[in-house]
Amino acid sequence: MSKRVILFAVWCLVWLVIALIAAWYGWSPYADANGHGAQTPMGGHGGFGYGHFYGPMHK
Amino acid sequence: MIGANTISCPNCGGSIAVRAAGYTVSLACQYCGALLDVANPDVRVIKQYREAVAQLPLPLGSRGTLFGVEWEAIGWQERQNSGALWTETLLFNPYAGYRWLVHFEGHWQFGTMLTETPQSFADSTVRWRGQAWVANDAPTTTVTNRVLGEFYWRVHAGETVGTAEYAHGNDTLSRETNADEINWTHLVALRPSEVRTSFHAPDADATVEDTPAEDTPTRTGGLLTRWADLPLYGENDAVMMVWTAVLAIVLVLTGMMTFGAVTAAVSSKMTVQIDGPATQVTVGTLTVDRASQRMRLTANTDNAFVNTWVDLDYALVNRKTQQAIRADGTVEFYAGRDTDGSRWTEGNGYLNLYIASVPRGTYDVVVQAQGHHWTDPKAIAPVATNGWDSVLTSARDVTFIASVGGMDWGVFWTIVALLATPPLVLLYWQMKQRQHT
Repeated sequence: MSKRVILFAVWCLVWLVIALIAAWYGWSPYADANGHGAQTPMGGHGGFGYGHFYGPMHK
Repeated sequence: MIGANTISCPNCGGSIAVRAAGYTVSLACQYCGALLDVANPDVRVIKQYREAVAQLPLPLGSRGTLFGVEWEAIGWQERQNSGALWTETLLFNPYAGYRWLVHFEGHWQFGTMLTETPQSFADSTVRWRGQAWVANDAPTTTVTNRVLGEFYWRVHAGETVGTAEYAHGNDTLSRETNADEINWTHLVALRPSEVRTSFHAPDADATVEDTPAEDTPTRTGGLLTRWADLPLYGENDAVMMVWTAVLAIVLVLTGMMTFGAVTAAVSSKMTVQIDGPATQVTVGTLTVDRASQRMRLTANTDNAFVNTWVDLDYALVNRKTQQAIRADGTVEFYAGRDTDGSRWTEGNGYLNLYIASVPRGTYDVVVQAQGHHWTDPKAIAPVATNGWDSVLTSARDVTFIASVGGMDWGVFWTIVALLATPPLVLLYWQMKQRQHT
């Protein structure tokens, strides 16, 4: 087996392990928020629509 | 028929027949093993060996017919690499030239030196006569241990060459490389009985079962050859990598769906007033059992809010610490008609929010919602005929679902891209290489 195929198999194995760990612990770079980020005391709310522009983009 | 000459060994005095006179450069005495230079009239000893002369599978001078040509065994060498020891008998016919009989673990191969060079389009694959030949294993180094008889080059024990073998079906291409040249040999498997019968050498491998030629083992491993024989297990690295990627993707999908399965879910409904005050509801209580898990928060309006938006402000309140993890988003759905009457829509009536790595604990899922309607500043009067383009109501129900776990398709497709890209790039590169060749 060539080194290239072996390296690719290792590459696949690494990403397989990462995928399984990410699924188990709920890691994701695409999340809208992160549970390990700053947590705030309960009360009030985060501010509706902060920085958001409403209305359609249709011209 | 075969040109013969006789010389006397300067080392032992033995009488040696030179069978390929005029072609032979080196000759190893069959009696004492001394290596002689016969390229010049005054034969001289190049090197004197003390080892006993080897017992040859085919005696030098024996003749046999293979592939319709009568060959005479004129030279013999024992060679080895890190994993195998084999012998090669040099055959000669004055009209057909030289051939090799390779003898390895009781199996025989007939070797023909190539005058053309196979094309290499990947490290582990070469193309020759329209066929792809796959490397048996990584290239290795081969050492010549002992030599006897005549050779057309200045052979000597200890000679080292780089070797690689490529297989296609039962045939092998052998590449030998030294500082000066690269030699290719095409090896065809023979049955032991074929060699015994042809060369009238009943003792040659008489104890070896007459195994089919296709069972001839490789001298550089053979694992890949067996893999290459499997259906769909292809002719080169790229194909192997494609199937490896497919297997890995199936494992990733299965593993992620198993490890990322939903472990708990709650739901609730809330009536949202358009342009009314913010309202709040506790969707339910969820428990994260692992060190951390993903949460999905879904709001579904069933497209009931047209030309409106609903701001959503989620808080996952840890019951123990009263600390909140926040996430917010907006459900927006707009529709209208252009001046030419064509209809358009934007957005949709639902929202999924994902919160990664929510730590272990029990959480109340609280959501605040506030609805607004959108008015086009250049407004054409809303057309209400189809009930789609206008604000039809001032209050609607929103369904909230919160769940722990769930498949992360973003991560999955990212990994699919990471796994699929290398073999696809290699396949594309090989395709371009083939077009060039």
